[in-house]
Amino acid sequence: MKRKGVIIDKSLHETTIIVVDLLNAEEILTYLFRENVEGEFREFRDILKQNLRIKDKYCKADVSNKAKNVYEMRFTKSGKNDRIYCQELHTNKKRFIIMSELFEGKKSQDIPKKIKSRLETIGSYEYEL
Amino acid sequence: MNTNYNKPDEIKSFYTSNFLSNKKTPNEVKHLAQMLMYRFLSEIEKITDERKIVRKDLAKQIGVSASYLTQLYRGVKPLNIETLAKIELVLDFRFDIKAIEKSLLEVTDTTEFNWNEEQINNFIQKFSCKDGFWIYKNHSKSNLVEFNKMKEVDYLTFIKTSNPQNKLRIA
Repeated sequence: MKRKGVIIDKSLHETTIIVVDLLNAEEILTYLFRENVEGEFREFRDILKQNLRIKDKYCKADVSNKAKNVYEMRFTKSGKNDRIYCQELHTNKKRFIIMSELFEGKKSQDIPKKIKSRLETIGSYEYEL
Repeated sequence: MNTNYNKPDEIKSFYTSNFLSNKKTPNEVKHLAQMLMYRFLSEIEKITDERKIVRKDLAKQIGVSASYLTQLYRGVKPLNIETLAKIELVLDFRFDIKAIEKSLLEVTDTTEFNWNEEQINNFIQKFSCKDGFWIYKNHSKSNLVEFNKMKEVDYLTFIKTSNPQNKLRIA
């Protein structure tokens, strides 16, 4: 079954479109609105909308071929190591960044099997926008 | 804070009111400074990726630690101009800096300037001369709206009465 995404933000010329997964929207937006996260999210939003390449902040999760369209936003400024996993789609010269799932408190550089499997699941999501 | 919504309209409304409002926060300057740094760092990252230069090597060449560069990219430490100069030197490139008025960045975001090929050709034809055609730099959005409505004779009057420094000929 296709998942629903809600378009919440767009770059000036609508080449980059930020979307949030409808089912996880409440959890994700509540997290983004936390006092120590909001400012960092503003940076992510502008990095994406201005099409900047800052891989320490936003990069491919790169765990397997099944998750090749999965990217991660790395929230580190609050002293924690949180992630929002996103699916990135390119169509009609537009780049859709769909914030799919929040993962709080990543502890090590390794990707445990459980997360790998979550990322592959995110990679398999089909969205209706 | 509990957002307590599950409908797309409520989500959009929550996001717009909390993240897209034009309110200037006390951290506005800090945010703008951070984005300015990211614009430089993004260009550096594009070059190092293209040339397959790893961060450790770049750090060594400019005399800093790799973790310092990581802190810059994470936005933890501020980027200073001297570090930028060192990077320019070792990577042998120059930043091409241009100041663009914010109103100009917004100009193509309006329906008036979402031109098709025919409209572009008409514009060029209207304002061309034997050596090329005239365009104006540093013009405001309202000037462009006026351009679109102008006939050739109006445009020539506009040229004569405008600040000559704003005139730029494309040959």
